[in-house]
Amino acid sequence: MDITFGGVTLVILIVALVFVFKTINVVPQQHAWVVERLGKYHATLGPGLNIVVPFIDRIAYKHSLKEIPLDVPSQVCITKDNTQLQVDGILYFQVTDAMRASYGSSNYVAAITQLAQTTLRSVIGRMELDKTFEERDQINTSVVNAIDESAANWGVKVLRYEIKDLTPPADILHAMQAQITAERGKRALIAASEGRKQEQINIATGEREASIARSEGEKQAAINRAQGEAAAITAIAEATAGALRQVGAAIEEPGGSQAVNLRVAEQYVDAFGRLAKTNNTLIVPANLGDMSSLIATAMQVVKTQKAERTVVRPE
Amino acid sequence: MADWIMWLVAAGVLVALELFSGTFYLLMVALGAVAGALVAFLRIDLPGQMLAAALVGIVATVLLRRSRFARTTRMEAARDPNVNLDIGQTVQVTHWDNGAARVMYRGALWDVELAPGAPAQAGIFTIRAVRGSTLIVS
Repeated sequence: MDITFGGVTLVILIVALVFVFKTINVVPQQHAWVVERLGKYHATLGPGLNIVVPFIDRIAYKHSLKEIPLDVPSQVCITKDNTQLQVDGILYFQVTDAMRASYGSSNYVAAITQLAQTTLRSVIGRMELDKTFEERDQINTSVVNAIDESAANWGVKVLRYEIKDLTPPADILHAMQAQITAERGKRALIAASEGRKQEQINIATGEREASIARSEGEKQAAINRAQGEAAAITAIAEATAGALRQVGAAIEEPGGSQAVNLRVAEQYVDAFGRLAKTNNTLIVPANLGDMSSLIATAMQVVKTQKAERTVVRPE
Repeated sequence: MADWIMWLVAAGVLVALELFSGTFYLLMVALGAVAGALVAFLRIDLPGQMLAAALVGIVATVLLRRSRFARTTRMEAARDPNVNLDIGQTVQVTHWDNGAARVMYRGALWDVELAPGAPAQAGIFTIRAVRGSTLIVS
């Protein structure tokens, strides 16, 4: 086969292309490329333009240094009180050391996933079911700490482990639901009874205050009435005394006692007449003779009066 | 079509591709193609053009390596803030335990080690390097 100058130059051109492509390396931001020189770790290339010696240097690993969310497969854990719990978590990690991430572990993703799962299992195994719901933070911290202890040589930092889901078996879930329902019902009953108690206290207090006020009012009214009556009695007594005094004075005057007699006789007859009018039964004085004597007396008085007038008239 | 036009067309295509790729590889090859075009313009035959293109490409790469673009101060990756954004950030350390501590940083607890020569007292420290998942501060 003839090797022409043209063939040689073509080969040289191809070699030149390969040389250019192998030599120039542009590493993007937040990436790190690990260069091996003759099979040994040589350098970690940072972002920017990097030129390596072709054929001697080799880009062995390319790492992204961004934070990576890694879904940890869900697993069944058993709590301290022997309940099965399905736990699903998510792990946030970041390659912090490209060299260690390349050589420290054959597969750092598998390493941290498995370690997170086993640590989670042991942390949950030390807790009772109710605690697992309350202490998620502690679980997360325990997992991160455990991974930190082991992962020193993996070039990876686990920033967070978050439990996405904690799913207990269906019947436990139902029991928990029933418990919380009962708890709510209990609280509702207590609240209702508190309300009734308060209501009764209020009503009783109101009634007490109302009856106190009412009795105060009645007391005052009775006092007022009694004072009124007393004043009235006094006034009547004074008036009666005055009247009697006048009557007495009138009696003292000439003919006063006869006038009294006449008056009494009139009233007697009048009262007797009324009795006879109102009742079918005729009430008769025990001694009718009294009646006639009384009338006689009255007549006598009248006569005397007439006589006196007759005597007086000639004046 | 003349050879030199072919070379220039190739160079133009390479530059265009280079712009799309956002890298640096094809630029040197394009320079080689431009050299090929110049040689073709001088009526030198195709093997000579290819040789010129290859040589210019290689020389341009070597020159690029020596240029200031490639001579970024070669820093140890563990201390390079371009490699690890945490370098240069500050952390608050409340107490030291034999030159090591555990601090809250970016919402997580980190192992912290004191850089040689730095005083072990409570305060704010700057991250100087990252070794594995351990921050070296001073």
